[in-house]
Amino acid sequence: MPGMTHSADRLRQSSGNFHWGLLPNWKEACRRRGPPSISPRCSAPTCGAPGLLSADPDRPLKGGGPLKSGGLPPAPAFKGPGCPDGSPVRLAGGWPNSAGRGAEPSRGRPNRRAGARRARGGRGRGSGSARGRMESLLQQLERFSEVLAVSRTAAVSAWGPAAVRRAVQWARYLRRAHGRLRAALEGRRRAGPRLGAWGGRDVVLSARLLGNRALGAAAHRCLLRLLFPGPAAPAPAPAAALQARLARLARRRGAVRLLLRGGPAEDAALRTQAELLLRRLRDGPAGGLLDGLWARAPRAAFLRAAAAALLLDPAGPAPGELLRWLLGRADALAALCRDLPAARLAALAARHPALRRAYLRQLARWGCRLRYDLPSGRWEAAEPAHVSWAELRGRFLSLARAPPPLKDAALAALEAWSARDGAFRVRGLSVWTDLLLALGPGAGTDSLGAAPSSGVLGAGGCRLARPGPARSPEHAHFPK
Amino acid sequence: MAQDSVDFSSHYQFWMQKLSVWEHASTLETQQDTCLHLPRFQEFLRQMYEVLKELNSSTIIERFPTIGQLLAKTCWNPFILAFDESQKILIWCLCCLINKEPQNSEESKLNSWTRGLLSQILSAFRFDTKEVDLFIQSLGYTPEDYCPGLLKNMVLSLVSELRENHLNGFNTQRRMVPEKIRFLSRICIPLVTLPDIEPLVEALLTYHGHETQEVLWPEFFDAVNEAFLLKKISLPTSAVVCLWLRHLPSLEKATLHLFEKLISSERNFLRRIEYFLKDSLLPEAACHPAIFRIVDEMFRYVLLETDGAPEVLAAIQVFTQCFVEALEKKNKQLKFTLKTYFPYASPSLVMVLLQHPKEIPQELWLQTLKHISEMLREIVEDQTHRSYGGPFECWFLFIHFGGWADIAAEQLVMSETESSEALLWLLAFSYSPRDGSLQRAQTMVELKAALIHLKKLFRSPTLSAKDLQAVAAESPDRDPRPALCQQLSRRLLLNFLLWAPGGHAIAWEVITLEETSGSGGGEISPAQSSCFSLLLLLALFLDHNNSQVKMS
Repeated sequence: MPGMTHSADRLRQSSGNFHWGLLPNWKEACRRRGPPSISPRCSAPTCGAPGLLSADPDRPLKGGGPLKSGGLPPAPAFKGPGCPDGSPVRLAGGWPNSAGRGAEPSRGRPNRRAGARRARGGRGRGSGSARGRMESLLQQLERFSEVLAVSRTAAVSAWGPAAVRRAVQWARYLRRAHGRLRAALEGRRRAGPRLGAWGGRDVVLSARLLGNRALGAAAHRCLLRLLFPGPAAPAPAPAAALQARLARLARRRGAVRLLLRGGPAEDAALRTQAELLLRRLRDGPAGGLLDGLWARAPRAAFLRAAAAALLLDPAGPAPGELLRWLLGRADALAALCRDLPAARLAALAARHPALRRAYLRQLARWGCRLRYDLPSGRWEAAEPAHVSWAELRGRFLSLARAPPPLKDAALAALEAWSARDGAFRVRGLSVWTDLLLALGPGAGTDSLGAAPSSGVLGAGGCRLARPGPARSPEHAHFPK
Repeated sequence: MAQDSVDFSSHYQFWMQKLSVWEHASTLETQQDTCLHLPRFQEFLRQMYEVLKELNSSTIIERFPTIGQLLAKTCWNPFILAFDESQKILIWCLCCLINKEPQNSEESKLNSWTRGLLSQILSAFRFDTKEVDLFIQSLGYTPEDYCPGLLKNMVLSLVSELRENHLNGFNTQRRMVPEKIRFLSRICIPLVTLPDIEPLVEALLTYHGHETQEVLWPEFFDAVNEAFLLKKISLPTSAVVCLWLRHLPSLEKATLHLFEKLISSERNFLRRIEYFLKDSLLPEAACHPAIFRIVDEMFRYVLLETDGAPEVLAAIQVFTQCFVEALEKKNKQLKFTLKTYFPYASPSLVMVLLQHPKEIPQELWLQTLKHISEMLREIVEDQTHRSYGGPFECWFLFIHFGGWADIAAEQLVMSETESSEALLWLLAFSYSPRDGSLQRAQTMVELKAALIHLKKLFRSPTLSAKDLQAVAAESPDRDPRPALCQQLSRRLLLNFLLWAPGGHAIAWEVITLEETSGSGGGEISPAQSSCFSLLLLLALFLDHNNSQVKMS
């Protein structure tokens, strides 16, 4: 939508002063949709409901300037028996938090007077109120997310047809609002962490409710009527659009199932997880999100997805933040180096020099923990939890097979460490020398003895086993 | 109505049997059979929905006691669920089955069972592992967010596997075996119209393996071609060319589809013909000689069948124009000689004809036309040139470049000097290729006479519309001229109207005359009607040459 892009540009230039009047298509879109079709009986939320859009869209917005508002966003005045117990409630936010019963989409009526006030208003409102509106939308989204969470629990047994209808109408409304906001707020972190995932909530809500056996029979029938109006529904209507989206979801599921008959799709699955992770990172502050994921999400899955994300799009800002986070979290980094397959780690190290240095440091740490067992003539881990000789060798093999910059760096590091251990070509003295030998003549022997390239370990590199009398690995000192 | 319901019942039985055989479409045979019947089954589902939506749940069960079985079997068939709109119609049918006021436990059970089927079609996508599920959840996403991305990436990964590419560090170096490619082409049959799958369809079409036999399933080509012709998918030209080169029936269908469009369109102005042709991608695809030869062969067949209908002649001429344009665009990478496109024609003749009249200076037109005429005459009349085919082959080649016949007529009309024998021959030949030399000589004499008559008319200061009508009219009461001469003299008249000074003004006069006599409410005379058709022809011509000629 070129108009939208244009206004988004203007938004960026306006140094954070967000004006609704900058959305030229908004008014037109509202007008096309007609006035909010609030059924007289159950005042369900529709287009104007959350008080963000003009509640009276037919009224022209003067001058295209920011809408005037008294205390924007006007809290939708909810009245009527919104709670299951039938007691009249008046909620500022729009969604009742009826504890113990689970959230139910409450009946909401847009504050028409407030809307009219806004519509009449001219220019001159500061960005504060606009931000307020934004905050309000985010609040609505948060509240709706509660409804969404409830939609897959047994608590929906308390929902009647009216509640289902309101929930679906809200989901449709939020999709429209999201579509417009996303265009306007592209690149603005202020949009908050939640905005990004709001694209297809109507589909999610529908699928969850359809699959929830706890939903009462009457509510379910109402849901079916709302979601599948049949071929008679006119094409541009929101009901027909949602029906088409659900059908497409079903068709895509069918397609995935058919394609899976040809064999597993691990790469594709991993790539998808990585893309979702990156999408999420773009939507909000990365640090908190990543800390949260590290604390709560299954770690192996998280690390696999993180590694895949770092391989996907190295130029974007989101992988940058992910990389910074990873380099700053020693435990996460160690787990990543430990759990990922050698080839994947080599690919990561080839792509990100900072990660390469960290990986080599990690390998050095592991190597220093190995002890040479004279009777068996093998390097062995001091503790079962430690990385074994075979595994370490595998890692270096994979690095030695990588394209030149990485391969050279890995071999140079090995040579440097071997040199510090004296570079005696006798097995059992230095794990590094033995690794070099194990990599075979093609790997590094041709360059063995050459001065290690200065940039290998870099300024932040590992100050490895200082040259000195202590040759055995256990004396190696690895400052953190 | 009764007949409809009988039909529906028999269809119902037929499909019930089919679904029982197909089951989960797990064997090759059942998959093939399912794919073959997908469009018809969707049509049946639509019919069924139309029947079901008029009935309530209990009546449905009464009339179709096995409907539950039928719908359940449909829900379990992944090919049907993936095809076009079948899943949507199936959901509608299931919705009809839900009883609004369940009276007993049986009806409640049926409702619950139907809900199960509905959620099976629509509810959450199941992840491979619990771990991934939890991770996606912690990200704040749902299976519904995951599914489209997964599909996109599965397609990308298959495409890169097919192209033996690397994909951002995800190394998929393992080469695909022909069996897998064949399998993919089969499961793509229901999916071709799903936009997410398009890259895979394209990759399959352009895939060139080392196998000696075609690896792709013929039904796959059928499905892609059908979707392309109905504009349900958009494919790059290269992929379409691959499709037509690999699957001859698809090319034939595409050409027939074009013919149907040309026939069903009411008034075919040249522009419109050109639009249909370019839209069909056939002229562009014809840059490959194999495709050109087949399309050309089909044109020849239609031409013979219609006894040289002017519409077909026009279509061939425009097709050739578009084809030559496309050929010039690709000139740099042209890999084939002209001989491969026109194997039965003299290469030097083809070279001359291929020149667009507009590309050479006007003063050289006459010379070029004489050259063309002489070469054609030599081949047609001299028996030693048998390798270039008989008169028909020559004529068929010439009409591809019908623009030269127009130029010949124009030159005859415009030249002040004695009419060129060569041009008269060319015109006579282009109108009646089968004539013997004696017959043609006679035609030429008559043509010449008509030309002199017309020239005299146009020089006269008192030329009126009535005179014009007299020339154009088929005059049955007078000495009936042969139809051929009639056609030719009208052709010349048209050229006079177009090119002679004052021709446009007289054309307008005729139009006005038609209007005034037409408003009288009387019968339209043959003279009027033929004049009218002449004007239509004129309008058609002007439409084409709009940039050059403007009626003021």
